Amino acid sequence: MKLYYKIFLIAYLIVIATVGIGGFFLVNGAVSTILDTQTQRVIASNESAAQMFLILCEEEQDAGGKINSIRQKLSMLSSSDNIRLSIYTSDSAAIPNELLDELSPGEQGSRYTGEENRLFEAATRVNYDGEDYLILSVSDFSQVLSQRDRILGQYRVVLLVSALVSAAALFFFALRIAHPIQNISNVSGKIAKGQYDRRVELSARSAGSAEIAELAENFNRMADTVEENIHSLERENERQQEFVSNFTHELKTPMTSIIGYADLLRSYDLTEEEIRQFSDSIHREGKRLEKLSMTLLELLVMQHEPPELTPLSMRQFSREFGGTAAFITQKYGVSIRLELKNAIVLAEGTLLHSLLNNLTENAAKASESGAEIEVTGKTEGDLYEICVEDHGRGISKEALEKITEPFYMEDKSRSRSQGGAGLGLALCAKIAQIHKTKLRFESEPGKGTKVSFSLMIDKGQERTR
Amino acid sequence: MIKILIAEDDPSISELISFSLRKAGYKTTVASDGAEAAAELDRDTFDLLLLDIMLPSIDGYSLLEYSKQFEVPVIFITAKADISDRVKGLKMGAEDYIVKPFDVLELQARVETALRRFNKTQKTLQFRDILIDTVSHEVSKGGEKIELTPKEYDLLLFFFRNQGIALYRETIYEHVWEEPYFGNTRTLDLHIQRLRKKLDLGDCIESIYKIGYRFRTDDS
Repeated sequence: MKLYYKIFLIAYLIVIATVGIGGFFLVNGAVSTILDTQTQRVIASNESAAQMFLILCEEEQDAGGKINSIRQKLSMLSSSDNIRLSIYTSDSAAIPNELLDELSPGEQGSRYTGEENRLFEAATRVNYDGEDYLILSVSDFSQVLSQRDRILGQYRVVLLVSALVSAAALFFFALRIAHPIQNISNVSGKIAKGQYDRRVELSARSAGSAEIAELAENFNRMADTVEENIHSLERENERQQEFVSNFTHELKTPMTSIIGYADLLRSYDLTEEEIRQFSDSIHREGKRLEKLSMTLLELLVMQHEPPELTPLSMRQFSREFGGTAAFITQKYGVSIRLELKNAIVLAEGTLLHSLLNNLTENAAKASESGAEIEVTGKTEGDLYEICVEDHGRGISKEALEKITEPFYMEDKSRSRSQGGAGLGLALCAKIAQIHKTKLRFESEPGKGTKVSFSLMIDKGQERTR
Repeated sequence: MIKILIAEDDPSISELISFSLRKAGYKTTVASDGAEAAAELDRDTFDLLLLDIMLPSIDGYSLLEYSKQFEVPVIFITAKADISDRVKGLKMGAEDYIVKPFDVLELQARVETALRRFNKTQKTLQFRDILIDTVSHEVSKGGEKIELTPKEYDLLLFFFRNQGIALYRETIYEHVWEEPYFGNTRTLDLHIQRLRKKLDLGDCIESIYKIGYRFRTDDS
């Protein structure tokens, strides 16, 4: 059952019951008061008539013969509107015998009688001088009763009108109470169907009472959270799809070359030069495929079994890295200023080497021949900060955001010609993550790039030293 | 001569495509990104466009839109194998869709088909006194009509189009019979024998030990 219907029905039943029962008692009370007054009047008048009858009998002394004059006198004395008085002797034929039998001498009785009980009679049996008399007062209650009926009729009209009015009013209020809830219900239904951007309107009119406004607000907050989660899942899904699509592309490009050139070699009669050129292509693309698969493997391995961080002396690391730096210097024709101050940090040596190698090589690739690259490291409070800075090409702002995403290449053709697949920085970011740090990029196109990250200092070593 | 524009950012692949098509007798131009391809389209007229979808600067879809004014048939070459991508490309009006990695012969065949659809290929092929009419599928030798079964005709056409190339049994079978090769050499050998006999090509279709056949041209 709908809520508004329930509210309406319960409230309506209460209203109708209260008005109905209360009204009934009120009206009934009023009507019976009127009737009581009237009956009391008839009974009282009958009583006084009986007393007067006895007094008149005393006065006349001769009751037997003077009954008619007594009757006249009595009816004159106690005549009142609407009450008819009659005196019956025991032998009179018109006497309603059952009354005489029911009453003992001196006793009084009363009853409703006549058609539709519209008459009320009070009777008193009197005994004078051995003779039984019945004093009967009859009153027509038609007027009183029709008055009662009129009141009851009016009451019915009032009841009907109030039932209708209260029904309309209660229905309206029930709807108003239930409307915001219905509203929330509608919105939740839409959200359930996948329209995650739907919200409950929070305007004063539609929100209703404070509890419902609170409910609506909480509901909206919940919807926000759900939408956010859904979106982040979607984004994650998109990223994964993009990864797969990029991966396929990166995989298929060298494979196409390898298969294609091998096909040419086996099918065509080629010149020496062509054979050399095609074999070279196969070799180069094969190398690229190998590099791609190794990098991916490294990424996957790190994802599944993060290596342990151990204390590492930066002095020793710097000596080892010197060789790599010299190689890069030679390959790209840049000069590298390597200045890693000593400290004991928590790191995985091979990975840190790979990370720094990648960053330095990137810097070298972005630099003009002969430019200087700075690789520096020093203790900053509890951390050891390493920074690789070049004065080369720089990275655009849009590219900075995506630079660590797998397969992202700012300049595809250049990256390709330098043998990249856009995985280097993704790998670096992962290594940084393992070292519980993040790569911070600062770059300005045309001016250069600065990449920095912080390693943890090995506290235990510090103390024992 | 038929001119083909190749838009592909990977130099190895563009050279591979270019070489294969040059060998098949086409003139090729290579563009390494979208902007360069658009510039080439403005500069010269081409009979066919081979487009990579993931191109730097202007992507393949946009290039397809741009190329419509020149009324050039377009074949997409891409690593994206999704059905949705393929449908998108074809819906936009691409003639065909080749997924990397592809077979060199497959590439040549697709190019040939696309060109034929646009009536840009030669309608007759000739070798010595043998003439193939690719429209009516009729073959004549010295002016005399030679009756060939459909498979024999396809086989002959395949040899004609791939002259001087060592054709593996597997390759021939898959291209002519269009079904996977499971070492069913007898069918192929029988057809070749009959072809040699009917057209007197005994000296031209030479067997290569352990590999297959080669249609030897007079100059090779």
